[in-house]
Amino acid sequence: MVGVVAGGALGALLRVVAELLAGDAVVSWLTLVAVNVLGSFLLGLVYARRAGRVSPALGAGLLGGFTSFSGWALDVVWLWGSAPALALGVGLVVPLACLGACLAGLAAGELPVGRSG
Amino acid sequence: MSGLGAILAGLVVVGGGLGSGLRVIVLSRVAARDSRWGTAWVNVPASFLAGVAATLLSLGVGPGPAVVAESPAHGSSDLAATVGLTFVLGVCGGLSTYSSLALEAALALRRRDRRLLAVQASGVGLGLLTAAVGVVTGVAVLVLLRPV
Repeated sequence: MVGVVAGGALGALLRVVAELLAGDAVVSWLTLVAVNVLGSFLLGLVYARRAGRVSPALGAGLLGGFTSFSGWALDVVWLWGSAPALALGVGLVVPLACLGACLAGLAAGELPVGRSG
Repeated sequence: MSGLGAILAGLVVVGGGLGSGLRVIVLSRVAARDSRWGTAWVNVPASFLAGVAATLLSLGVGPGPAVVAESPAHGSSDLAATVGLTFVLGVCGGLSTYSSLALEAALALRRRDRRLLAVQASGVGLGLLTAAVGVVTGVAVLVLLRPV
C-alpha cells in the first residue's frame, strides 16, 4: 500500500509537471489528454512485458496516479459550456484514443526483445 | 511558480498519492463483488466530487458572478477553502484513473467480450454525467450559501 501511495504521488507529480511545462503554449485540456493517452500506452506496454504481473506501485500507483479520469471528465463538462461540438468530440475520441494507445502498448510489449551478439 | 502555487501543487501530489491508495482499497473490496464495472467504481464518484470541488474553487473563492462573490468562501476563508478544495481535487485525480480503464477495455476487446465493453462504455458516460451533476451541485451549494 505504501508503494501505491508513493507511486500515486509520483504519478500526480509527473502530471502536474507536464501541465506546468505545457504552460500557456498548450490548451490545458490537451495536456491531460496527452497524459492519459501516454499513461494508457505505458500500462499496456508494462502489462504485456510482465505477462500481466504488474507491481501495484507501478500500475495502480504511478500510472494510475499519472492519468486522471475525473480531470478529463471535468474538462469535457467545462468545454461543453463554451464549445459543445468540441466537447462532444473530446468525449467520444479520447476514450477511443486511450483504448488504441493501450492496445498499441500491449502489442509493443508482446514483441520479442532483441538479443545482442 | 509562487509559494502558494507550489503549496497547491504539493497538495495535488499528496492528494494524488492518497487517492491512489484509496482506489486500491475500493477496487479490492467493492469491485470484488462485481468486477464488471471495474474502474467505474472509483471514476464515477471521483468525477462527481471533482465537479463539486472544482466549481466551488473556481466560482466560490475566485473571481466570479456577483451572486457567488457574496458566498462565505470569499474574504478571510478564501485561503482555507482554496487549500481544502485543491486537496480534494488532488485526491480525485488519484482516485480516478484512465490507464486502468483503458487496460480493462483493451483486454475485453481482445477477448471479444462485448458485454463488458458495453459496461465500460457506460461507465465512461456515467462518469461524464456525474461530473456535470457535480458542477451543478457546486453551483447550487454556492447559491444556497449566499447570504440572504
